Amino acid sequence: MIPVSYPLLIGALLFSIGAFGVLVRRNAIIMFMCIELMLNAVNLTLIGLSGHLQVVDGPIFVMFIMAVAAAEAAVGLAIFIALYRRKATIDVANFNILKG
Amino acid sequence: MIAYHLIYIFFGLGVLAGGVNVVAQKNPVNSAISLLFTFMCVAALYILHGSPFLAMIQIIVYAGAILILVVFTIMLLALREPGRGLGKFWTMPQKLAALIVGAALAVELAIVAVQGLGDLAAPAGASLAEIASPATLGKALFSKYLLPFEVASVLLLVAIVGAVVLTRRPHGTAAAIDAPHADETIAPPAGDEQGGQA
Repeated sequence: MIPVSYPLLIGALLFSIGAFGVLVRRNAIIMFMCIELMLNAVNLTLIGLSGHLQVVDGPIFVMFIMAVAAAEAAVGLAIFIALYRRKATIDVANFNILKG
Repeated sequence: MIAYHLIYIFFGLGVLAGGVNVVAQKNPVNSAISLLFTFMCVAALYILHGSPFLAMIQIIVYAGAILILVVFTIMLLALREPGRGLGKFWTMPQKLAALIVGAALAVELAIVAVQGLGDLAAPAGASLAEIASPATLGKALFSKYLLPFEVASVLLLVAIVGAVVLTRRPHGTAAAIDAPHADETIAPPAGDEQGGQA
């Protein structure tokens, strides 16, 4: 069967790519997509370890993460539309009114 | 058996290549298509782990719902228009910091993944075929995880209400989101009327 290190390494690299993307991009929608990448990396890690340890909790948590991701997508994209109405851009560099 | 490993590595590399492409593409639509590719490869990995049920859920929820929402938002915000700085990356100091953070995270997680394996018990089966079958998942979801399940349904309800409230247009204000399309939406009916009269 598949060694458990494969999904763990793929998950680690995918999570890092997603974190790098959130930090390096300025378009809010692409940052959102990078957050989805990180969620998928965590899902893959859970699936890999759950298969290794033969426990049912991993797939259950994957389903909950998917539900949370769906809720996050609905609210997050609604926030982007509200932001766009206010400033006609979703470049996060323009949303700095909390800056000291 | 070696072919099994090769197929797994193939789709794993597909996941990583899709992820890199999501970050690297300037156009948000191209990023969205790369994200779709990544989701499909992750679903393939789920199948290789012995859980086609989760793979189908992955495709339905991520590729079917979330990605469609993203693409719809890109369309609604008219992000194709140039001059809005939408393909921008942060400039050099921040980019370098992001690279350092990303690389450090990757090395740290890889070390944890490799070193932590020694502590794990020997695998009983290493396949999810029985563990993640719909029957097993359903039983666990409605017995041990009943409370989180109900909380998740409330969370989804709150998300629906929140999305509606957030995108509702305030009374008496002209929404900026309609401005880019104002002439486009008015023009076609006038053209149709003229065409009909001619």
